[in-house]
Amino acid sequence: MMDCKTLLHLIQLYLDNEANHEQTELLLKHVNGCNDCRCIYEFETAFRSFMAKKMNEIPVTEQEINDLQNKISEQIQINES
Amino acid sequence: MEDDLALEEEFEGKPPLSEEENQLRKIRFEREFYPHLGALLRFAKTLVKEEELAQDLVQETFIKAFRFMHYFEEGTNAKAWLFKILKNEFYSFYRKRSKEATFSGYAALEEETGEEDGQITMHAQNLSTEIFGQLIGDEMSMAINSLPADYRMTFLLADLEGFSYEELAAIFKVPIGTIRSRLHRARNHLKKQLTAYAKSLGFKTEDEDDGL
Repeated sequence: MMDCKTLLHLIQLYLDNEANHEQTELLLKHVNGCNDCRCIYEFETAFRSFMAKKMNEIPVTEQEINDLQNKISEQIQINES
Repeated sequence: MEDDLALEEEFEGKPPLSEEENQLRKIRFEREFYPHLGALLRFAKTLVKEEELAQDLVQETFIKAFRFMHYFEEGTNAKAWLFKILKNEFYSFYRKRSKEATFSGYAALEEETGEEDGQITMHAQNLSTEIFGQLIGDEMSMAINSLPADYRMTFLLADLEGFSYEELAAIFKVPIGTIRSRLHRARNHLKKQLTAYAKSLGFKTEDEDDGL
């Protein structure tokens, strides 16, 4: 049976998509059988979801991208001439 | 310039391009690099919280990418290469504004986590507050900006852009263990800073799970 301290490490690997098949199976099996670790797992998942949502709220418009691309192209042209 | 020299050194020994190859460089630049412009701009905005500066960092990144593109190996990860240059631009920006860096940010993180990290490089955490403090909008930005520069960049590249440990290790030229350590500490720091904020917005937190 995996100890809970090891699980904390595996949660990070799993949520970072870095856990292999064996580690994933160990993690999910342990989480299903350990109430404390399931709580931690759910909190970590919720927290990452919150962070991702907030970070993706930063606006970048197509117009902004196009304007910057034109600016870069112009500067490259100037540097080349 | 130091970062230019670093790039030159990294690609040292590669032969210069012919005129025909130089023309192909322009076509490849538009095809392979411009599609990542939006991702870099969003990342830069999160990193520095000031639009004009974010645009300047991205512009310099692309100009430098074009300049050194004949050293870029076709078929390798263009996005990771661009972010590597952006990282250098960001550090260069920091260095220009401070002759004396501080470890205070790292010390605070180590105190929080009770760990040490022998691979930490020196970049000034307190400068971000000094330079961008007045532009920060909410608790999320404040928490991210309270991270030391290395930790902030590593965290954002992982969680905003989805780079793998291996890609991050290549971008920062550090072992994968250092990447894991930075992410662990950065997330612990952010959790402490933001748990109350997340709850106020209705997100489920550890406290509420205790009853399960």
